[in-house]
Amino acid sequence: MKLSDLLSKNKDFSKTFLGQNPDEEILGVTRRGFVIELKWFLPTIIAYYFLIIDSNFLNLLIGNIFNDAYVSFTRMLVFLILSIFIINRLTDWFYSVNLVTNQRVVDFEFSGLGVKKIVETDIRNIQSVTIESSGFLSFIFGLSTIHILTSGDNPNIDLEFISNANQIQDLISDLSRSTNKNERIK
Amino acid sequence: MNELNNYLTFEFIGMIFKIILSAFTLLYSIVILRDVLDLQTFYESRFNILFKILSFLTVIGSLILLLTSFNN
Repeated sequence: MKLSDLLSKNKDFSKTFLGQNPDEEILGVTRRGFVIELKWFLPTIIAYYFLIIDSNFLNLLIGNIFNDAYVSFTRMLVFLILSIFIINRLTDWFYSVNLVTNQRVVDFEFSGLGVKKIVETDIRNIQSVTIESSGFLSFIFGLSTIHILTSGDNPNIDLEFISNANQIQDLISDLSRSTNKNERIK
Repeated sequence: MNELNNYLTFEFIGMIFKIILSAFTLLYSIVILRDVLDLQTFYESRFNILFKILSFLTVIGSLILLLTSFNN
C-alpha cells in the first residue's frame, strides 16, 4: 500500500483477514466503542501534558536534584515510553474486531502482549442473537453487547460494547435465517 | 578503594542508569513493533501503514536515546 493510497479518501479499501476463504465477503465490521478505552487514554494524555508539554512540572519534580541534561533525558524517556504504551493499547483496540461475513462470525480479541483470542462460528450454527445494554456508560453512549448463542459444542460469541449493535444484530439474524432457509430447500 | 571511588562519581552512575533505562525502552519498542506487525496479519486495514510507521519511529527514537546516553 502506498502513502498516497492512505491519504486518498475515495479509494476503496477492501478489508481482508487471516483465514478468509476466496468466496467469503465481509459484510459487517465492528469493534468496542472508543469510550471504553478512555480509562487508559485520558490519564495517558494528562501525563503527556504534565511531563512533556508543560516544561515547569518536570523541573519542579526533579530539577532540584538533577541538572538540565538529566531532565531532558527523563523527558525524552517518558515521551517514548508513553508513546509506545499508546501505540500498544491503540493497536490492541483497533485490531480487536468482530467480523460478520456471509459464512461466519469471527471475533478477534487482543489484550496485552501476545494475548490473543480468536473465536468463530458458522452462520448455520447460530441459534439466537440477543442484545444487552446495561450500565451508565452504555446508556449514555449507546453501547450494547450482542450475545450470539450457537448450537451444540460451538462456542458462543459475545460482541462487547459496540455502538452499531442493532445493525449487526439485524445483519446476523437475516444471514442466519436466509442460510437456514436455503439449507432446508436443498 | 580510592580508585573505585574515583570511578563511582555521580555522572558515572547517572550514565549507567541512563543506559539501562534507554536499553529497556529500546527493548520495549522492539517488542511492540513485533506485536503490531503480528496483529496486522489478522486484519488488513488502511491504518496498517500508519501504525507500522509510528512503532518504527519509537524504535528509532529509543535507539537515538540509547546512543546519546553513552555521552556523559
